[in-house]
Amino acid sequence: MPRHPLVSKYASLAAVRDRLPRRPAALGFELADRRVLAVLAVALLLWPFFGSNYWINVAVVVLSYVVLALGLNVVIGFAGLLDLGYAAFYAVGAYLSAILITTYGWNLWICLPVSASAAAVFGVLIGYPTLRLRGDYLAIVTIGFGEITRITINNLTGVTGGPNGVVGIPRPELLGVTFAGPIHFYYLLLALAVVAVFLTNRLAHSRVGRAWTYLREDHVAAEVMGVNAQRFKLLAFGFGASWAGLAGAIFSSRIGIAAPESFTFFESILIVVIIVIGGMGSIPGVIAGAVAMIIVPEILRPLLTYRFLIFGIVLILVMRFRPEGFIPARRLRVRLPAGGVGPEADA
Amino acid sequence: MNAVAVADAAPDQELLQVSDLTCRFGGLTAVEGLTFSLRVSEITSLIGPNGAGKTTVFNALTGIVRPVRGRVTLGETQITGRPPHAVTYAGIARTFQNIRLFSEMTVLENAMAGQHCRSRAGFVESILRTRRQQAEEAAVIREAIEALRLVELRADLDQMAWTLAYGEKRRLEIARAVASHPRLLLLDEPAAGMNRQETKTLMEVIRRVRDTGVTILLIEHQMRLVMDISDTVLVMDQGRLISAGPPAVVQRDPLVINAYLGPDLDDG
Repeated sequence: MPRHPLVSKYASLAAVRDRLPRRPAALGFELADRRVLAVLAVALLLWPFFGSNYWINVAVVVLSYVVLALGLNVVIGFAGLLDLGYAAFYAVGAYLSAILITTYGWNLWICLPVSASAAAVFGVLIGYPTLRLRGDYLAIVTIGFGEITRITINNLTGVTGGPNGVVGIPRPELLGVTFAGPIHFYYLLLALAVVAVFLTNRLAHSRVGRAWTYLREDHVAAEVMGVNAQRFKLLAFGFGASWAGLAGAIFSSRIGIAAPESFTFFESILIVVIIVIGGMGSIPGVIAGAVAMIIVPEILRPLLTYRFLIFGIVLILVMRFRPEGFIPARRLRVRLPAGGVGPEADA
Repeated sequence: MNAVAVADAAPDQELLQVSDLTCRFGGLTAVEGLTFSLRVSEITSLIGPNGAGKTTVFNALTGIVRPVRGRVTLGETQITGRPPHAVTYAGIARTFQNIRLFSEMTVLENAMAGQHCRSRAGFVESILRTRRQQAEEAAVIREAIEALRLVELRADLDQMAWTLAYGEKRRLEIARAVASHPRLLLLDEPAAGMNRQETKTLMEVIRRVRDTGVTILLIEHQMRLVMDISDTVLVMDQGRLISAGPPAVVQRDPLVINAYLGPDLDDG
């Protein structure tokens, strides 16, 4: 992506200010080149017609993790809150939706917003006492809450079915189409991922996203600049959790069961790893991370259990040689309206 | 840009009133019964030997430290014990002794931080990107650039803050604070580590900020700067205010000389 015409020196700052449009349609916050996006969109929409069921299934898993990682990226990447218990929100969405569908006869489409809201509320409830902690302390407490959630689900046999889980979730239906094969879930999750990219990108480049990043960069300075830390951290936590709620609801409907072993600490760590190797705070990075973390082990499958060894080595190499991730986060660039301001001599 | 600051500023009017401010950390009393006031559009320096409690005063004024006793009033607003973000909304901005910029963000984004408290786009507006939100973003950028101009920062707007030179970082911190349109600006050792030329530029910057109607309180160890720029000097020692007045008077105060140099041995 070419560097935008930028204004550099103090000498030309007045010119920059005078050239800023009153109401800029875009001040240069584009995710990527529109043509690249168009080609990508067509490819993503059409390839399943030519792909095998196996690879569509892999893509469905990739997309689930894209949604989960984009949600957690708001918490870890934008706001810098190391949440290692994200699977708890995933579980809340999956179980709530599973129970509402099997016991109360709801359908998935009503369960989606309900699960998202419930996960967000759960996030705020857990966040309220814990977000006073910072850094490693927050990480440890979130591990604790993640495990508490899983163990509670495992033991609340009357509601959750205990270790057996909630079984017999019927296949969802939309406009007369029954979601029988992976291709239906592919398009559902693709749509959800696109919405997640759109929303998190808009937030990242707004007053809210900047407040999150100020908190990440320097908590005290952010508060002194007027950022209400507790409020913005709860917002990040709740908003991030809502994506896990959505992904969870779709997950349990897709595999037809909600069981405790799907929501272990390992699940939380996997999503964190996706964000770290992809590029913390970077939306394209997180997508690349999810693709890599799911597809690479699939490609290595012929190597049987050795694939995890190789996978581990790959992760170590990535962190050694590209610690900022595959696609590092970029900061705001000021793009001026056509014409720009040429480089002026230093005053 | 400083309509907020000048609005209620008749000359000689008091902007900040601090009375009986006391801060303790466990058994240690860092600040004891501090009482002073600042007049609108004046530059006041807070000096004193290391450990006198100067930075604690700043932390108490900005809500980072909760005083055990005392009142702080800014204009008509009682700000004692309010959290830091509320104090910023009320009109106090500050810089830090050990620079605290948002390192992995650009120069412009750092300056935009000042405008956080003067803008209001929330979650929904930011997602919908409404007309009002877009106009506000443009205004925030304009104000940030204005603040960068005021401190004469000659850096790329999209340069990462951590790449700046030391003196530039100090001035960016001042720009960030100024961008919040404060009524009172607190500067914690702004000239620390600066050479003579940088200090000179800094003094011009401070005067220029004052001329826009902002009241300034600064902690400083470089006496040349303090004596040159201040309307009033406050001297602290061991948590207490030991002297206050114009630079020339404070300079000759035996209590101040004693605090800095120790008791005069000839007098026994």
